[in-house]
Amino acid sequence: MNGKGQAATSDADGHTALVRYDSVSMTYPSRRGRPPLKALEPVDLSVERGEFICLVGPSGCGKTTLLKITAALLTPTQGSVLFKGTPLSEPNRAIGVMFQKPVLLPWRTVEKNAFLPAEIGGTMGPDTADRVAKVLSMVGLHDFATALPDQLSGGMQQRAALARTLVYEPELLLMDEPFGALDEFTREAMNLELSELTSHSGITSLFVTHNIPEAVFLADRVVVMSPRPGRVSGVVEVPFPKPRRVDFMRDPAFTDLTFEVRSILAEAEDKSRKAKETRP
Amino acid sequence: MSTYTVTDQDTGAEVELDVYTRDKDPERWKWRAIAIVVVLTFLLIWELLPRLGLVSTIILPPVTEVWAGLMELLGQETFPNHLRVTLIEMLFGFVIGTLIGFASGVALGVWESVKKSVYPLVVAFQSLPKIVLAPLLITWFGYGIESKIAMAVVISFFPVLINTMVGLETVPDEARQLMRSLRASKGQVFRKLSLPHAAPLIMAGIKTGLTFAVIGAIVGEFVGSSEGLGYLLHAYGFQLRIDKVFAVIVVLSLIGALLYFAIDWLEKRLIYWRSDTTLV
Ligand SMILES: Nc1ncnc2c1ncn2[C@@H]1O[C@H](COP(=O)(O)OP(=O)(O)OP(=O)(O)O)[C@@H](O)[C@H]1O
Ligand SMILES: [Mg+2]
Repeated sequence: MNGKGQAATSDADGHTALVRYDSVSMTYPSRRGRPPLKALEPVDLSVERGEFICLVGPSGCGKTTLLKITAALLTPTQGSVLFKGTPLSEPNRAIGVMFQKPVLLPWRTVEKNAFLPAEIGGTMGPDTADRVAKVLSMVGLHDFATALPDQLSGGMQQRAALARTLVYEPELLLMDEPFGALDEFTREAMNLELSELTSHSGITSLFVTHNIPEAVFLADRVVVMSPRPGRVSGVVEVPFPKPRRVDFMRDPAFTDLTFEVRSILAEAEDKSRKAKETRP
Repeated sequence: MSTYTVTDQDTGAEVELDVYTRDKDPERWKWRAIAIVVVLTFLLIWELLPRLGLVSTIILPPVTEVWAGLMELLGQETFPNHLRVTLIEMLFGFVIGTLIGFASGVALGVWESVKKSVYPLVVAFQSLPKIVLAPLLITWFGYGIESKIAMAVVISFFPVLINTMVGLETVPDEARQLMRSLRASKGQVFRKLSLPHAAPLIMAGIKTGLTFAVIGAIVGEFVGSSEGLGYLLHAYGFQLRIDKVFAVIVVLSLIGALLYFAIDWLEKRLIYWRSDTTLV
């Protein structure tokens, strides 16, 4: 690591966060007569290795924007994102992205969809097929390796998308409401699996959701954002062992934590409303 | 480059057949029987109308006479040559038109600058009823097959062009972002995403182009020629040999149907995934 990067990214004790947001802000340029839109106020945040971070906030507060910036699909207007101490300027294969839709290629079988990252990265090797098979059974799709996406249910499609992301073993997994379109039962089942999977592999996760209990269930830390323009208005720690099981939701602490997230959200909402009213 | 590389690239041949087998309609035979009855009734009415004196036989010869005319036509020494000439015009026109349409569709669909500079011209050309070009093409290319091929090209390249362009342009944003997050090169995005995504639409354009090429060749022959089925049609019309006119029409519709089924067969093998769904 070079000295300059270290000075900028490390704490006094010399440790480096996996991801660090350094006053990241984003203003979308004006388009078709619409004024420029400020989506993110400066955001400062560190994500440690192995952590599961959930990002909650009202609709339009910039969660997707922040995630896209982290995937380097968008460049912030100000500030920078440091990944392992180096500024991110273009997409990185150590960062896997999962969108709200599964985005599977309908002409490829589940298996071939999972091969896509390796094909594109030119890393197809003798062990790729094994790895794909392993990951597919990890997400419970081993019997559907040769099925086309349109033969799968919504939940299975998301699993296939997860498999595609896991195959190349990213260090950071970005998920934008990946289970948002699923029914309640499937969603809960997927959350259990996700908690299991991520805590065993030690992967670092950044998970966007609208669902507060879901956030508390999955996260080590829940990052609560304010209404647009988004800022971090509070962070709630969830100091419980992972992987989480269903009975965690019965724990009184679980209810307290969801309430804490809710009150931060309400407070931020309040503040933003007052700010708007006092504006001339 | 040909459109068929789409699937060669991305799917093993075995996938095409055993994964997506079309649902068999259990009432298929019943509907086939009904369809045959409808055709027979149609032929019967055709036979009876002139026979009962309801329509003059000069205007509408009975089916049996058309059949006799057809047999006579097929037995004529010159017939194979007329057939050959028209087939050559259609097929060359179709293939050249498809290639031109595909290549220019790719150029327009891939490069924004090409589209911006050339599209207005393309639209202007599209709004032109291309039949009016036939006399011009004959003065340019002469009385032979060249002018008919040109006519077939001129009207058949367009649907291929438009469909290729639109297909390439309608790749969903999420899929593009997925490719970007995997750091796919432009060529990879084209081969692994845009082209297969556009394939169903391109195929539909090619089908339309085929029908148009048939029209183009015949219209070209109408306007000026000394051989070919269109020429025969014209000549028999002048001679009031309406039975022969119908016989040529029968031959032409058989050719059209055969070509269409051939391409339909090809399409079903190439586009084995559900094309009505965009990326799921
Ligand atoms: N490409 C864009 N151009 C202009 N404005 C945009 C663009 N993308 C998003 N925005 C605006 O930026 C703001 C934040 O959008 P973003 O998608 O990040 O919100 P979000 O928190 O993910 O919302 P949701 O929970 O509804 O998904 C919104 O007001 C949106 O209108
Ligand atoms: Mg969003």
